[in-house]
Amino acid sequence: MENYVYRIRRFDPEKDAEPRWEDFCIAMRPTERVLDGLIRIKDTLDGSLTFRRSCLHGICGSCAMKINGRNALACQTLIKDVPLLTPSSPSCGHRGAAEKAAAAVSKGVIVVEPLPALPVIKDLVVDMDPFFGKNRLVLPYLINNEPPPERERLQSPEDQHKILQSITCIMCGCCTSSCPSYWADKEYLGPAALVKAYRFIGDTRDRATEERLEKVAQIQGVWRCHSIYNCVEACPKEIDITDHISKLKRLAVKKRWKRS
Amino acid sequence: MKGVAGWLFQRVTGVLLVAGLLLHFLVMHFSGPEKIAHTVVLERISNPWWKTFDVLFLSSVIYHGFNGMWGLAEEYIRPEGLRRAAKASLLVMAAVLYAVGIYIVTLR
Repeated sequence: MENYVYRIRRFDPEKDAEPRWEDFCIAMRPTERVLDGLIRIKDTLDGSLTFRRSCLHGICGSCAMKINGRNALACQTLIKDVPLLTPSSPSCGHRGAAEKAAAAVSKGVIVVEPLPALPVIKDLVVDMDPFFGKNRLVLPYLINNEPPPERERLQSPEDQHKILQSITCIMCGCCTSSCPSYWADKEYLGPAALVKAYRFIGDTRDRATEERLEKVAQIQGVWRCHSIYNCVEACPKEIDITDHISKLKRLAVKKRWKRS
Repeated sequence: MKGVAGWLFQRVTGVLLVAGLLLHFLVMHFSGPEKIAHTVVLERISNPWWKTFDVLFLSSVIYHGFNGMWGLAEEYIRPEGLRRAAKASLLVMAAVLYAVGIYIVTLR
């Protein structure tokens, strides 16, 4: 066990006018996850610390947060893999004397913040409504008016493989909130919604490709993507999101010149 | 669907710019000093094929550069009045530069 300092961006709407930083020093094993530390802090140091978590195994996507400047799932990030900040580094500065002393004897500092670009409700909990709203815009459900076969609409393994990556999205919000285009324009659909659109556009059982392309090939849709690749770096499921958006761009170009 | 042509054209002009730049470097910097003498250059730029190339190159530059600037204004200038002013001045600048370019290409 080693001591680590968790520097957490906190905000209580009933007490704070502005978000503030708070340090917690706890003993952790390097093979534990960042989320384990947060749970320990909540259990033993400050019960008011607020964050979302549910499955603890990288499937529900609840515990997405910014850990040392990088969007990630706290349940999937091991302490030993976090690039620790030294207590003396400038970004750890202007602490009280007691906090500074505690940080000095610790192994390093882990800075935990809520996801950027989304409104903070409390501490590490952000309002995901803008995020899920974008998702709704791309019709995230199977559309097929043909009469269903006796058992189910089948898909070949090859066809399934085409959308396999986009299916693994757990909608944690790491990508969209890491996207500079989204920071600059909150009306931009964002990488997560575009991946969702691709998931159905590429699905051989779906019949609403045209409708969805119409929604996606807009100024504040795919053309807001400038291939910055922040989303790819942030994605905890390692989806090549930018590649998916590029495919959507290509489809839009093809469709545009097929019609006229 | 919106913005498809604009995006595709940005890509196409980008490719044209790379090709054009290569040609420009070959002709201007690697063809020997006698090829950039006054009379030789005058003769070259009065050739209709070179004029076509120049107009194409000029159009690509103006579109590619100003489309990029337009995108920056659109996405990063938040106050609406300022954004409109920026976009209007971009249009004026593009038009003036294009006119000057065409004027020079058609001088001889």
